Amino acid sequence: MTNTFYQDQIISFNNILYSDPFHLKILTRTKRYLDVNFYNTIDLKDLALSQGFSPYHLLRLFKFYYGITPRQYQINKRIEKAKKNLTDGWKVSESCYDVGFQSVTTFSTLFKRKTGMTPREFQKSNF
Amino acid sequence: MQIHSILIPVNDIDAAISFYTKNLFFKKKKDISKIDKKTGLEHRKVSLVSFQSHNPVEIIFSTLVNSFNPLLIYQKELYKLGVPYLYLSVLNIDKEYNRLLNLGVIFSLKPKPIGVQKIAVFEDSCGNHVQIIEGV
Repeated sequence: MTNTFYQDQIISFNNILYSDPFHLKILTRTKRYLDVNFYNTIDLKDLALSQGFSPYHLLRLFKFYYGITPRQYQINKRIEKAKKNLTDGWKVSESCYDVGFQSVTTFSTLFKRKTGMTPREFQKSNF
Repeated sequence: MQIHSILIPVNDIDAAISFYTKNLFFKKKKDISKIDKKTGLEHRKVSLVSFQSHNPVEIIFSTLVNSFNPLLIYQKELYKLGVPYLYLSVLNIDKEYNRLLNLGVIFSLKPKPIGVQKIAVFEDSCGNHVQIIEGV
């Protein structure tokens, strides 16, 4: 089967934009770490140094490849999990602490910023 | 502001509803139709939303779009070049690839890593290519 025009373009795009396999390896490893540990407190400095990068370098690369910082990614993961908890009928405070937030106020503020609704409004809209 | 809807030209609205609801986990939100008394032609507009996410963005199929010739030329050219008209995110692209393959869906691009994503492209059987994307 011959490649379509789109496939050729995508391959060329990939070769130009994502030419460093080492960076890709480090970044996918960082993202997987965040996927599993998003509810914990994560020290970017430790995370970066354990992979041989400066925190600034890791932050810059993460943002370049994923469009957001590791901290923003972690918050998004927490909010997504909280949405699932709320949909499953958990209380707002239970959802908040389960995903790693220490304060319901901070959780509610970030939740509203990300979804446009407070956790309670979100829960009501799903019942 | 946020994205409300996206119009997709399809050559058969009923076939498109069937494909997107049965294979891609969308559900019908609205289906409005009326006959134009002057021309006798039926006008129809259907909107679908994903039931796998809380994303409110609607996919619209409409006879109005289907009668707009420049758009149909554009769609045909995109299709000929294998360029997707629609991009959907999935949690596990290999799982979706195998599931859709088993349903007889035709892929023009098997799952392929592109940077920090994995993509695949398939045909919606209504004149469009659809790309699925997984963040890795």
